[in-house]
Amino acid sequence: MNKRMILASFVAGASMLTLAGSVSAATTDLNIYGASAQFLYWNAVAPNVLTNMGCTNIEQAKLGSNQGITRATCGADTVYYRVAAKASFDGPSAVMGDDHYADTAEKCVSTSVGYPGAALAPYYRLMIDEASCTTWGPATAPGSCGATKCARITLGASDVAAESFTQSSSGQLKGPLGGGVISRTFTGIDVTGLTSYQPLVVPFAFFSHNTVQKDTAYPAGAFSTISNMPRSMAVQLFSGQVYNWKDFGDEFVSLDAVACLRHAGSGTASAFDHTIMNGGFWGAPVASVESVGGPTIYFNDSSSDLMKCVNTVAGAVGYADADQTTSAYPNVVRLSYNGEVPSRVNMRNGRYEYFTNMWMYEDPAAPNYAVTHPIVSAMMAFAADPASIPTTSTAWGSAKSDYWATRAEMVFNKVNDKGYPGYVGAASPQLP
Amino acid sequence: MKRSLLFLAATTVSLFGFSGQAMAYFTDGSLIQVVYQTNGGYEVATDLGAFHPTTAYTGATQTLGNTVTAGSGVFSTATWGDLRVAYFVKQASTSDAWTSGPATGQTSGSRKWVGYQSATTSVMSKYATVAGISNQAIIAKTDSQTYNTTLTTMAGAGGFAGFIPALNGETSLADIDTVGYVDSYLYYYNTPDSALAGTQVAKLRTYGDGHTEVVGAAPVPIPAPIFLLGSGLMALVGIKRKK
Repeated sequence: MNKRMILASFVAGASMLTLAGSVSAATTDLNIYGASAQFLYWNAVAPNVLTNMGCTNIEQAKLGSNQGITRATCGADTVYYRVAAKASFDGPSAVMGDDHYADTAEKCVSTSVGYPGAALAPYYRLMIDEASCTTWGPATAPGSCGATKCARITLGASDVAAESFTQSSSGQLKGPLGGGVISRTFTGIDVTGLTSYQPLVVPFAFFSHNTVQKDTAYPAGAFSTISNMPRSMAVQLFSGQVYNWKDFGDEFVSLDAVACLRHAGSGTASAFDHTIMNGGFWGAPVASVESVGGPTIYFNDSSSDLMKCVNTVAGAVGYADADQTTSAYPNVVRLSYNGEVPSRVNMRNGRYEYFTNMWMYEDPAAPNYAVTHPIVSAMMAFAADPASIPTTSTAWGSAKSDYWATRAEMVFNKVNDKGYPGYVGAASPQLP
Repeated sequence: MKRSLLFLAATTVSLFGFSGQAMAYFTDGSLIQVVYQTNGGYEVATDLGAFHPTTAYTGATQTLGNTVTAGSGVFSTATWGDLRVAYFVKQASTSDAWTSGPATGQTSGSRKWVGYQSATTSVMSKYATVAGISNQAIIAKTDSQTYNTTLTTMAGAGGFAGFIPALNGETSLADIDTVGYVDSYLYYYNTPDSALAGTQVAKLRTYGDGHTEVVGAAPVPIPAPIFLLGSGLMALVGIKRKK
């Protein structure tokens, strides 16, 4: 048994003791909310986390494409472990008790089941009501649920640090698919008093519509879809300075260039701003206003909206978490960045810079902290282990092990979201 | 050389009189003045009220609010020569832009409009957050979303995030020492996309006592009671220059 396993066993044992020592036959709710990029991961690993804690009777269910729930018996308690995806900003915001920018579809309002009153409602978001789940199943075939209720957020998931939300955006909610014009502006989220965890590193990637082509044997006319996005092109495209792909040279197809971005508040958008655009320090800020025609710029509310934007509009290019499954978007191709594919190996070894260290925020002053914190500790210990990144696909998506990494294995890493990767040495070296 | 900073109440009254607004600051259509110290740590942004002419302003000279002087507050270590002033207006609804520049003319860069709109939106959001219910934001230059980090950046000071390639959007306040005021000129850009010569629409005169005037082609004193009240308050609080 290695040190990691001993630690995990200790955490699991301590967690079980804590749960068993709480209230007899109680219900414990652990609610994870925020970054869409983390939604599938936390659902996928829930059975492993709870199994490590000694829990039994572990079953899962889902509601739509952004709500998941895991039920388990842990000691004398029943644990409901919920995960819901929105955007990164709303994870820490919810834990801080701020629902200013939460959409109506996610807000806990007076007509919602379990409404806790106006004072507490900003700490709550709508998550699965376990009573509405008619079937339950294993991770390979989760059951289904039909309704939501107000749930106090235990963990706020974000792709970037809360203070990194310094973007603005204005445009249709779902880019080319409409949804009404919204404007969002962030000047950083104050998370004073919260505890944070950063066990994992998440890569992002560029995606383009397959009509974005380049003559690989110019001027012979051997056009093929581009496969790489250099930073220099990305900066021009996403700052609104490119109108047609031919602006990059006559080798490119003559086609309107369309930039699909995420709305402000997205951790993916913040990661893009700080990592690729360098916060505007390359000389041009990332676009924040929708524009149709000369240049064409769309903003999208979620990762799936962005993928639809790229998939729908000829000449489009966008960015998302690198492990997005492209099979659902037949016109979309994943691109290399600066000549390197987005991968776990490239990322940890200093060859791929487009990544962030994900954040999880917990409030030590939350009412149920004594009960939920042991589970959170078990989650973080599990996530920090390089061997625990899912290697197989489940109903919660494809394997993450080709893309995601743990902080412990990063040979080169960033000190913060605005930093550039530097050598840190791997605390838990991995090969290659 | 130190200057006094003694006319907050007076200039606030003047501002309300000019703009007709009292609550919402750092919004589209407002003339934003930014003063910063080149060798210091702060910038001061002031919403001078709604002012976004599309043709040359020919009205009477009007006083705009301002509470910035060298030798006071966050500029306590500054001389006038250390301070720079820039003005801009954002109006996303019409895709227009206004920036300050020299008397000799100013030209926007090609395809820089999105960058201008994006950067000014970001900066004004930060100013509004910092200012709260007031019309002025005093903020560290190095904070995110400031004039110095977002509208200047590597595109250069006076470039408004690359919108003005000649980088002539700022004016030194050094001449206040000798002349008593410094002139900047406001240029209007009608939905700029390709390189476009700005239309000079106003002269903005920044005085050493902390106020700014918009000077029209035919300046005529405004007898409006609200401005008289502002002037009276200025007198009461004892604006004076001291060497």
